[in-house]
Amino acid sequence: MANNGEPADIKHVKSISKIWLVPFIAVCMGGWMFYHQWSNQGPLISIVFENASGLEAGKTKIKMHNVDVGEVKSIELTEDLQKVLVTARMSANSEGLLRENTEFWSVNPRISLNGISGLNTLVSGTYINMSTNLEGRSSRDFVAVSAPPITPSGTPGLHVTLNSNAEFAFKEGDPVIYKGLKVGEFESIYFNFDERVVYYNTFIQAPYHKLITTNTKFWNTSGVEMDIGANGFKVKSSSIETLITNGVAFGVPEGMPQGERVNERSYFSIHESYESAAEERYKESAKFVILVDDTVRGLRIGAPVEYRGIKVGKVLEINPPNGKQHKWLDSGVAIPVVIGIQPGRVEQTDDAAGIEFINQQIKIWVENGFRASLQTGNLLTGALFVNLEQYPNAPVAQMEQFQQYSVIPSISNEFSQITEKVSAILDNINDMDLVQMSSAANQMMADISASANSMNTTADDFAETLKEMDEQQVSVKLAAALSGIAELTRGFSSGSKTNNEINDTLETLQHRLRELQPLLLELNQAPNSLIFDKSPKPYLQPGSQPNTQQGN
Amino acid sequence: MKRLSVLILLFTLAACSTSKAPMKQFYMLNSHTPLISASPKEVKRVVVVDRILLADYLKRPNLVMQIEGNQLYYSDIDLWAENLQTGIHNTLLAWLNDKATETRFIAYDSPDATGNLESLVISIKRFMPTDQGQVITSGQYWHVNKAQTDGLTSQESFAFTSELSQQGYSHSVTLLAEQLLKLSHQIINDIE
Repeated sequence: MANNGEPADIKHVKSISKIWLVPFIAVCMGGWMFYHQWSNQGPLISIVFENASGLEAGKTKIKMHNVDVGEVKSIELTEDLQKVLVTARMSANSEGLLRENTEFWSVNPRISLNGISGLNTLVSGTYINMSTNLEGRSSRDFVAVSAPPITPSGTPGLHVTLNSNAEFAFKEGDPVIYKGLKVGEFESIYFNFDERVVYYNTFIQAPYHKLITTNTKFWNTSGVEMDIGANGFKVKSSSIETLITNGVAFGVPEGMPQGERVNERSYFSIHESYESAAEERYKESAKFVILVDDTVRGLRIGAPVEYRGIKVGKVLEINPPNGKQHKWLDSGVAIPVVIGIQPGRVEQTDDAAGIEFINQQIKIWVENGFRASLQTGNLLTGALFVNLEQYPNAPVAQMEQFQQYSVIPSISNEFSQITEKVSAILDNINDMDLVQMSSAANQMMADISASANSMNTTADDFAETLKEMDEQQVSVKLAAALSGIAELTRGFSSGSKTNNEINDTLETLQHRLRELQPLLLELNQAPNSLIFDKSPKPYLQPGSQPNTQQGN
Repeated sequence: MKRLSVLILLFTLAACSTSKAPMKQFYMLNSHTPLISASPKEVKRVVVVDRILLADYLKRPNLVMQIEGNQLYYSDIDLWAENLQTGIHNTLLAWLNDKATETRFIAYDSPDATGNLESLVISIKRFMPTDQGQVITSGQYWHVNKAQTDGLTSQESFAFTSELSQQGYSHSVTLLAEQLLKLSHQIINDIE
């Protein structure tokens, strides 16, 4: 390149340096990030807690079904200093979850009779759980519940209200059992002061809520149920869970129709037991009175009324209070017992027609010896039941009226009958002339004793006679036997014919054995020598050398 | 074919033929004993000769010979004519009565033996020839006198050996019988 001394041609550039592109991009990215953060953050909500135990700003998460949906931003006391106001930022997509009935609660380790929960927070730290059913208006301000709701909002199922005026009481979380399976829980308790009745708001989970019908009965299954009644001793328990907590079971008693499905918040009573619940299927009963001359100890309300062993009703009342004209304290006055005969149990319609039929039938029967009596159903406990029976030999009777009830004539119970019989026997014994009988018995014993002595003497004489006879016979027989033995001995003595013959025989036998001995020895050494010619045996002679020469 | 059948029959019959068995020889001990024993001049005692106690190997009817020091050979041809126990008893009894002067010996099964207080018990241990050309007789005898306090008068042993001068069992039996005669002399000398 040549430099000829001419000045340089300077041109002014009007464009921006490319280096400015770097901060521009950085600003854009920062703006984009800011926008992204702003656009993705959810609403800011406030939750009022009783206390802030375990909660930390910037750390504590808000979860729903274990999914993070928010985070606590600040924790501060309320203006009245009684509670804690927690401000939390929710995630952007949680907008729809924030309804007025959304519930928040702090999850901590919790141990109760219903179980152990929140153990994972020992590691992860306390968090806030929420539940919602997506119903109601949108909201940003909430009040946390003190404990996890028994039934989270939105859980499918049915809410019913149970009531009980019995002494037993349930608490929140107690189970509702169906055939041993937990299908629901007690949610809350409300006591009506006017009615003196406790109401339990109970939740039945789906799909078991379909089992709740108009004929469904609830009964107590708490712990172990023991019943000692006229039918004996019974022990019954439900699930293991209800052994340590309370609980109720439900179902449609056997023999009842299923009924129709019920609506939300229907009311049901809690019965004492399944049996008492099952009693509800028989709504109507024809009421009668029996007048008991004996004690009613052991008879209780609800005791069975049986006709020839079949339960047809139950005892409704014992000594009803409305009996001004019946002064049972007077001597000899019978105690009234009101019984109910249920038409449904005797194949009649469970309505007024059935009651009328029962009334007419009982009236006819009473005229023909139909009677009631108290009988012992359990000898151990002395529990009584009312037994109805036909007594053809009973005197003719007409049904009387006691207050508003017809009276079924009664007869004394078993124990009274036995007592009467024993009394009669004792009276007969008392009437006996025991002195005369005693002297006669003594005389008879003396006669028997004399007879026994005579028999003893006779027996001794007889034994003596037998003994003498035996001795004579034995001595004769012994002499004969000895004579025979002597004769036999003579026959075998030395020199006798028999002895000589025996000796000769033995000698002959010995001789034959001696002759047989070489043969036996040879057979012992060579069993086949009888058939095959034996190999030549060396013949040895005294004073000579061995050789095979046979014989001389 | 006919000839073949005859040949087969002849061979079959020939197969059934056996060689002639050697003739058995029977021997007796008391062939030289006196037929009638001489009565003692002056009988001072009566001694019952009990049953001879014989060693088991001598109870077989075959004549036995000792060979190669400790082996025995039983001859299948040479047999005792009577029980050796009885033969020895009879031979001894004959010689004892023949030689004794003051003693009468009676058999244990004699009618006179009942209640006798003196008896002679003889046990024979060896009574056979050997392949070394000898004949041996040995054993013990007991003179029992129940009149004594201990019931035992004397116990003696005997052993006689003779050299064979001839071959064969017959000569051996003759020497054995002579040794029984010697035993008789020894017993008489002891008792009388």
